[in-house]
Amino acid sequence: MDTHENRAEEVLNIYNESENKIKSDAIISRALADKITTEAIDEKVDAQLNSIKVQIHEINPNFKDDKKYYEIAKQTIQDSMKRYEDNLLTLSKPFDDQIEKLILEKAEIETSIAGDFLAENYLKENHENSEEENKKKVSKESKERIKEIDKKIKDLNDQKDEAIRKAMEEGNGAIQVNVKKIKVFKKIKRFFMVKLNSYKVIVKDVINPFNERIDKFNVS
Amino acid sequence: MSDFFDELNKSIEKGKESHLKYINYYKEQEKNENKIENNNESSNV
Repeated sequence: MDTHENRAEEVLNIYNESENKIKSDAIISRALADKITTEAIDEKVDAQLNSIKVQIHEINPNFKDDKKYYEIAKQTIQDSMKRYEDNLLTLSKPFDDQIEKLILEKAEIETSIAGDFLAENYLKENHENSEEENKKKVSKESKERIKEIDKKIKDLNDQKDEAIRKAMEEGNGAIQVNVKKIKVFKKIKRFFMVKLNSYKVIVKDVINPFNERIDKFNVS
Repeated sequence: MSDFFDELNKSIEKGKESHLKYINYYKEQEKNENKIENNNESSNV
């Protein structure tokens, strides 16, 4: 193949490679935003579920043996967990929507910058240099905007992660992973709890407070 | 994510608007180069 004769093909190939890279980068950025959301929500849901399990165990370590009430409690907790997760998804959506907009803006600007390569080649080949300086100036502004967008995307991902972790938590907003924080019932109290009906105690001390936190949560 | 792919393609197309003139120029040039190459090959046969 004669490289001189296929000059246009070469130029277009380089340009197309840039376009493919812009697309891949945008897809990776979008996938990363999803990954951050999913990981933060999964971690939080797991921690919440563990916290509930520990609390139930504290009330009655053998609650599972009470098949009738265990199944009712299990279903109630599953429903609550679903609402809990939905709240977290609702919370993360505006962050992900903003991130997506920025990714799309970046792809548009980068495509425009990739066009400078075609323009430069064209101007050289056709001995038209008047637009060149102006093009360079535009590219500089565009590159600065890309830097800004990258920073904004990073900040939004961090803010989203923090918002998910703090949502629907008690007190200082730390995720309920610390078992020590859970109220340890005295032996005597536990004895009466088992006698009285563990299910009622679980509803009063575990499920209801959890549902209250879910209901109080307001995404704004 | 499928919506995102559509939106991404739209953004890329929008980004191309600033230099469509040059894309079209090089596409045209490429066609001409291919024509010349094909003619050369057929004349060699």
